Amino acid sequence: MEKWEQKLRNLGFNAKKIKLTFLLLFLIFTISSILLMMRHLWGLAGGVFALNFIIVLGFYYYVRQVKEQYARKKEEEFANVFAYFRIYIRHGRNIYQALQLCQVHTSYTLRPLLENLLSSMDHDSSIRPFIDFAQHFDNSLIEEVMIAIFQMIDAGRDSRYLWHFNFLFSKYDAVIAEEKYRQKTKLLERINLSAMVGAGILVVNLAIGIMQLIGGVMHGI
Amino acid sequence: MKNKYIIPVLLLVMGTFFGIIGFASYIKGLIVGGIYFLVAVGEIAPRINMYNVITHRQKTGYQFMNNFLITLSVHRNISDTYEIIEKQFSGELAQWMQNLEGVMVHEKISQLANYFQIDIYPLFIDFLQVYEHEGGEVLQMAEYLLTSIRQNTAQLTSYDALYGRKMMEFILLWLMTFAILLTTRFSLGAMYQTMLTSLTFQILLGCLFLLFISALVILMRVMFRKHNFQGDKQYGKMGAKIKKSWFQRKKD
Repeated sequence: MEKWEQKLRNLGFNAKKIKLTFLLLFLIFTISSILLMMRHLWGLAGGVFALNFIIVLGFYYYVRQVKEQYARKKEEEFANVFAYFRIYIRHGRNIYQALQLCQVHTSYTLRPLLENLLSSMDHDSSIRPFIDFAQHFDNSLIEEVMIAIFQMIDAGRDSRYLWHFNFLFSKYDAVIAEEKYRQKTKLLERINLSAMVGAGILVVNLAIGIMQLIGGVMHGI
Repeated sequence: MKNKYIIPVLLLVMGTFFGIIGFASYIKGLIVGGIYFLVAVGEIAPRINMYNVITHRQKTGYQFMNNFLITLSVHRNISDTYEIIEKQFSGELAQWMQNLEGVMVHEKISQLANYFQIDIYPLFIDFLQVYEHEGGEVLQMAEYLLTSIRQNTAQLTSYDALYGRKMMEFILLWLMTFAILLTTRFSLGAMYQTMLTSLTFQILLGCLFLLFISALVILMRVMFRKHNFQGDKQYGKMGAKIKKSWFQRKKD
């Protein structure tokens, strides 16, 4: 399987469906542009053929959005699931048991990672499985949280490490909430720009109208 | 419920007024107003209404969890605590609880998850289960939960304020844009009428009206996401999770 196909599959896409759709659209647009060329409508034919590139670019942008959304969801889920982890630890479970119990609260985004972590912990008692787990996320704070969890295994239920983990996790939780708020504000600001675009359309429209009038008057002379 | 009628009517009046002024035609103005009205009825008003219901339920939910934990720390018994808290239920929640008459207390608490629609509610249920089996000091054990409740309540308020601010910005900016249309229409007078005979001018004017309603719908979609009210037929299954597109696989 090709690398890009695997990447799309990891994001939950159906690579076969995508390939077929693109092939079909490519054929439709290419045949339409050939037909238009035969009727000597060169501009329109070029425009229709260019749609192929616009669709590919649009899809690339869409995949990027899905990728970001997926990464965001994974991080949000991490914050939710490790909130349970904190409660289980507080209630006297050990790290392994707490992680096992956390599996119930995961969805398809985090479950395989957690399962991997647990199976790696079975035959590797070093920090490696925790680092590997953290590497699936872009946020460096997750690595710190995972190291703190490993330290808790190492030091038993030493309250200092539990406090350290709690501190890091609260910090991480706050960062996630802040990021979510920031993203939302940015998105809303972008939507509000539509009014400027509207004003732009109006001004361009008036300019075109006035130019046409002047043109008409001059033509009349 | 008031929003259901106020917003569509406001958009109908606004669309018709600016449509008549922009296109200098009653028919086209009514078409613009009609489209705005239909979009408002089908998309905007239900979202605002649902958002109000959701935020009200979530605020009630946080209050319920907070009161429950504090009362539990005094009474140390889940059933007794629930009976005390249940007496404080009012309005929609009291009505909703009538469906659960005769159900065991623990089941009632679990079922409330469908009403409140709060992310941390399952944590609360887990906490109660652990407390029932292992006991302990409630306020100490629920420290994280209580902090989360406080944080989430504050977040709800800050999002409410953000939405209000951005909505006001949106309305003001678009009013200014339509004010430009209004002034050009009356200041150019006969010249504007001549420009209206051009098809390009009319199409671009149509694009302006279309842009406004599209931007409003997107704004509503970003602000007021539809939620999945399980067991609540009034709102249907909309899906609060990330919606999968046609290109994505259906299985999880």
